[in-house]
Amino acid sequence: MIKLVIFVVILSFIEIKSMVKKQQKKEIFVYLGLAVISLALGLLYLSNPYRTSLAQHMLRLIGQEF
Amino acid sequence: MLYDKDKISIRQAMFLFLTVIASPAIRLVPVIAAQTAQEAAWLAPIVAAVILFLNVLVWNRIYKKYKNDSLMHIYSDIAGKFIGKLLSIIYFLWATLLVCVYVMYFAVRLVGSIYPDTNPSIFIISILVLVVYLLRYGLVTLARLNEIVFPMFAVTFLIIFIMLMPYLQVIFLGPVTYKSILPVINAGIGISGLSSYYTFLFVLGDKINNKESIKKIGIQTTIFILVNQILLIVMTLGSFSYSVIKRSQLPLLLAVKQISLFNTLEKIESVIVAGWVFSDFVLICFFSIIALKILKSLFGLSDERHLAKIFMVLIFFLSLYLSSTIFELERLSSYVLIPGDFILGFIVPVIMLAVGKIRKKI
Repeated sequence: MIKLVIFVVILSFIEIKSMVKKQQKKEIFVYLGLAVISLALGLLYLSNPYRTSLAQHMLRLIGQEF
Repeated sequence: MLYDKDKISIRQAMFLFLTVIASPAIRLVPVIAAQTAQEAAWLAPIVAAVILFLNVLVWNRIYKKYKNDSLMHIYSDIAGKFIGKLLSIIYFLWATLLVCVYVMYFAVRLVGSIYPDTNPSIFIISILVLVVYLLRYGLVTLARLNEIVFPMFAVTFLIIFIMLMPYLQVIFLGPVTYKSILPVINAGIGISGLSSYYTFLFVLGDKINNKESIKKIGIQTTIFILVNQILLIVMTLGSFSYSVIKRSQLPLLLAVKQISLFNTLEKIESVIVAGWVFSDFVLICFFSIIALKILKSLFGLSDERHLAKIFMVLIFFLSLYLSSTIFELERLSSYVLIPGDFILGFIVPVIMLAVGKIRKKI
C-alpha cells in the first residue's frame, strides 16, 4: 500500500510540475481528482483482493448474479 | 475537404472500427449466435448488418448538418446543455468500463490460451504501459499503425478460412426453416451490440476528415463486417456444431487448432492469438482516447495527454476490482455490456436524430 501511495505521489509530482509550467490550472484539478480516485480504488483493492467483484455487484443489481 | 495532419480520414476511422470490433467479435459472435439461433446462427450477421446500415444512415444524416463537430457537441446542441453533459458523463463512464473489461479479457484470455499459471497482472501492466506510450502520440499514430497492420490480419483471416474448409461440415449449418426467423433476429440484435461501437467513433468526430463519405465508406464497412462475421460463424459452427460452440469460450481458437497441412504446418492458433493481441491493443487505446477526449470536453481542458498515465493507474485497479474470472466477464458482457452498447451506440443516436428533426436542428 505504501508503495502505491509513493508511486502515485511521484507520478503526480512529475505531471503536475509540467502542468504548472504550462499554466494548466483546470488540468491540475482534474488530474488530482483522478489521482485521488485511483489511490482510493488501489487501497480498496489491496486491502482485500478477494472481496466481491464489481461485476458481481453490477449483475446483482440487474438480478443476474450467479 | 481540407487536409489536416492532426486528423484521420474516414477510411482510417473505419479501419480502426473494424480492428476494434475484431477481438470481441471473434470471442462473442459465434457464441451469442449459436446460443440463440442454433443451426441458423450463420444468418444472424445479416440482421446485425441491417442495424449497422441504419446506424450509418443516422450518422450520415447528422453529419450533413454538423460538419466538424464531436458527438458531445452534437448531443449538447440537439438536446440542450444539461442533457448533453449528462450523456457525455454516461459515455465517459461507459468507455472507462469498456477499457477495464477489455483489459481484463486480454489478460484472462492470454492466461487461458497460452500462458497458464501466470499472474494476469503481468499482462495488464504490459498492455497499459504500451497504451500510455501510444497515447503520447495520439489518434493519428494509432490510425496509421492500424492502417498497415489491419489488412495483414484480414488476409490472414481469409487464408485461415480457406485452410479450414476441408474440416467444415455443411450438415452443422442446417436445417434452416421459417421457425428460425425469430431466433435469427434475436441473435442479430445481440451481435449488433458490437457494431454499435460505430457511434463511439464520432466522439472523435472533430478529428475525422471527409465525413461527406460516411455513407459510402460506411456501406463498404457494413458489407465487410457482414461477410467476415458469416465466415467466422461458418468456420466455428461448421467445425463443431452449435451445441459445442455455444458452450465454448474461445471457439475460433478451438477450430483453428485442428488445422494441419500435410502434417507439417500446425499450431497456427498462434497467428490468431497475435491478431487478438493487436486488436485488443487497438481496442484499449481507442476507448482510452475516447474516455480522455470526453473528459477534455466535459471540463474544457486544453490538453488531455497529461491525464493518460494516472488514468491508466485508475484502469489498472478498476480492472482488477471489476472481475477476476472469465465467467463473470462473460456474464457481464451478455447481460450488461451488449445491451448497454446497443442503447448507447444505436438507440441514443436514433433518439437524437428524432429530437433534432422535431427541434429543426437537423
